[in-house]
Amino acid sequence: MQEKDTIEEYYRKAFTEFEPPPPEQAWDKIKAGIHPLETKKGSIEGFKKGFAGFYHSRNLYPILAAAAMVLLLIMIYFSYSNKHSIRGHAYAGEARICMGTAYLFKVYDKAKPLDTVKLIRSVLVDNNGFYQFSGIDNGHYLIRINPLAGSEITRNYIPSYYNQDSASGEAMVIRIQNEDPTFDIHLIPK
Amino acid sequence: MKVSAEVLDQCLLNDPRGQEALYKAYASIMFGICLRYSRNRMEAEDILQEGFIKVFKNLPQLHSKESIDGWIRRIMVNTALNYYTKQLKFQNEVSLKYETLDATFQEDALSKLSYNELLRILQGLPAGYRTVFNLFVIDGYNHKEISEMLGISENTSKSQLWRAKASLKKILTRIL
Repeated sequence: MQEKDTIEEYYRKAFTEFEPPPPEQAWDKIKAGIHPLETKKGSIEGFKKGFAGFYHSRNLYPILAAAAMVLLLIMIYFSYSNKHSIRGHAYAGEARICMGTAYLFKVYDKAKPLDTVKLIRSVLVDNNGFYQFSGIDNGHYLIRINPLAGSEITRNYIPSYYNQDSASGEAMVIRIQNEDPTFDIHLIPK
Repeated sequence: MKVSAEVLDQCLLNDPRGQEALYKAYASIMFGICLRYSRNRMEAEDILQEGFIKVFKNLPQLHSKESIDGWIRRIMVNTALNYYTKQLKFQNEVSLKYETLDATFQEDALSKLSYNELLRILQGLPAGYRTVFNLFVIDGYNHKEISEMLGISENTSKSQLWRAKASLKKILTRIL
């Protein structure tokens, strides 16, 4: 018999019927490959596989969107919960002024002179002398009222800070700490 | 066909019971193929797992349930070929004379070798020789088909087969 026939035929014959027992655990690995979400209860490996499958699942998208929305609402809530309002009335003598401008200055360091503070907001004073600053962070501030330019009040009063001393010109720095205070401001007569 | 149409329907519905039944029906014969194409048992196990995952994922593309035997076999062979794609280095041989190798073995001498010994010898061949020998001798592909599957010329396929047989002869001569 020629070698060609012998080797080829023998190998062909031997391996055509070759059916060795498959490896143990092979099915478990294949199953994990086609059903990644199935986990063994109490198994850390199962938890990891399950979490990976869950993480890559499209079912996660609506849950992620809802979680993001909740997180956003919480951030908004806390953001606004840390904001405050400062309000009050401006007076010229015993009467409330009619129209003007209220200025809010941020005082970063109380040791610094007044002209180093930073103007952060201005609002109109209404015809009842009322002003309000909203969304103010905790911190130290100065408030100044300017009466309406050209009005009769400007002839008798100067622009004034809250609790400003008419003699020294020094004003009180107000401290906002988790509260919505009211500060009435009295203009200083000329 | 080693499984019923009902099992295949279960597999198409991604039912683990049907999938396990299909696996159990074909695992042994497919593992035999994987062992032939691989260098060792560990790599054969990898190929088997990867091959069966492909089987289940691509089952909806099976046109005829009756052809599932050959279909699974082709997937397993292709998975094995892909596994060794980077290792397959074929030497183009243009001057080989495909003369018949000297016949020195008798069938009864070869029959003394066990499956495991024959397998070990086959697995010891270089990847290119082993692959072409498997495809041509055992799985019945012709050189044209092999050349298309492996992206080589028919002459290269023939030379690889000749070299594979020469190597086997050399090893068997030493053993027998």
